[in-house]
Amino acid sequence: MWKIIKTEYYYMYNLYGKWLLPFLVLLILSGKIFFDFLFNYILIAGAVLTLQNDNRYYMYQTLPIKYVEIAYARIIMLIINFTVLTLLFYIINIIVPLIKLRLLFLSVTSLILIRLYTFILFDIISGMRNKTKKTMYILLFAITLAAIIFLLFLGQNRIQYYIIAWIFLLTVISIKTFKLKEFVVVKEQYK
Amino acid sequence: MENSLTITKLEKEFDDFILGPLNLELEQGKVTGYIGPNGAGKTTTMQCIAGLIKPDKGEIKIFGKQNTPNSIEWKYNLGYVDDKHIFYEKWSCAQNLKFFSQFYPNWDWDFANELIKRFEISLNKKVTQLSTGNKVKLSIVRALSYRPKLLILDEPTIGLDPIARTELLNILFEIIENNNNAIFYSTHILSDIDRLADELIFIINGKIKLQAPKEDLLEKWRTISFKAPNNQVDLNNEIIIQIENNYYKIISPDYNETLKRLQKSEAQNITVNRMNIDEISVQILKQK
Repeated sequence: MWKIIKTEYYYMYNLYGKWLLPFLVLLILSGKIFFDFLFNYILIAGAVLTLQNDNRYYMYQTLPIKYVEIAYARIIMLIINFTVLTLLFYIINIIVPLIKLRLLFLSVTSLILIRLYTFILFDIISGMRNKTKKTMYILLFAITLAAIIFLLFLGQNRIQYYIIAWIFLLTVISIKTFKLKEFVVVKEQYK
Repeated sequence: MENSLTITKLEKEFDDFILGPLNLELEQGKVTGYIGPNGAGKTTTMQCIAGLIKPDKGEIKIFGKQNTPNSIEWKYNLGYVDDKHIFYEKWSCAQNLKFFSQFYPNWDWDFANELIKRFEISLNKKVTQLSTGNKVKLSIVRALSYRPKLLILDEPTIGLDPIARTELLNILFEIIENNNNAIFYSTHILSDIDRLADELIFIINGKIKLQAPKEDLLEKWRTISFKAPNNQVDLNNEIIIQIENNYYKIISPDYNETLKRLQKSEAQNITVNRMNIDEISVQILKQK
């Protein structure tokens, strides 16, 4: 179980690590209002990451690992992601008010965010087998991405950010919950 | 000798397809070809064996150990390669193999390196940069490096061109022959297994049509041409290919028995020809 968790994080670090530090720095420098919006999206990214790639889930099943351990690994990763991100939010929330909003940073940060987002999107979607689910995800991501761009450059309405971010977050969580539920059912059948 | 694989009354039902009930036994050190058209149930059987899907009924034992999802010992004896070839795409081949090696106490790096050399895999290349052929090779290295005694190959060469496929299979079977593995190879490309299969299992619509040693099939199946002056011939299991002016061309699944009946029927100008595995398999699969 820990081997999976360790490897998944190490792999994610390999994929997104180089974007993480500049992202965090710019995030802080971007200011509080924008940060509120960004936080929601980091939270979403965290939830998406823990969904993992379906192909790798299949690969784990071919390895000598108990299936129940794969399920636990996914749950633990979900908890870790949300805990770390929440902590990060509170820490940065203390620093951010001290810094004034910088429009330049805001634009650069949003570009990095979009880049990070497409990385995650590609990794998740490339591993999907179910065509309906794949289409649904692509649509969901496309709409959200369009909304981000629109709001960043045209909207700037904080309430709108929140609504879109949380609708998306809830969708992701509900899909994740469904997947876990599905797994528990399968696990029960094996008993 | 202990069976490498024993399947008892295996059943799996989908909305539009039912597999089984299947009963199978595979002997250690033998290569068994699992032949059937697309959608016959080959992959479902293989995935049940590898524990990737749960059968509705029945039992699967690998070297005497049941393949339950919450035990892992049986997986040490099982090498599984299908057409998916899943890896950490953005990692190099070396990083991937290192990851897999953690899970197998009997992972043999010397053997892995020998295979890598043989397959000419570039260890520093990222998996995403590999061609389909090289991904297949990497999957095979992964499946063989912990020296499993039973190898399940579910159409691993799908998508490869004939030259790459032949080259790959030549190396693969050479390695396997030297290591005395049991192999269960599913395919619908008959030439893939013709050379090395000891036993053949034919599956159609989820049911096993025939299981027989390859040599038996080659020994018994023949095409027979003859003239029946009065059109009176006693044919049972034979497949009639052509009848023209009292001249018959038939395929017999047991030519000695057919010849006896033909002689009794006073057939004339009897000519018997051998058949190859391709021809025999096509005839078996045609008989739905």
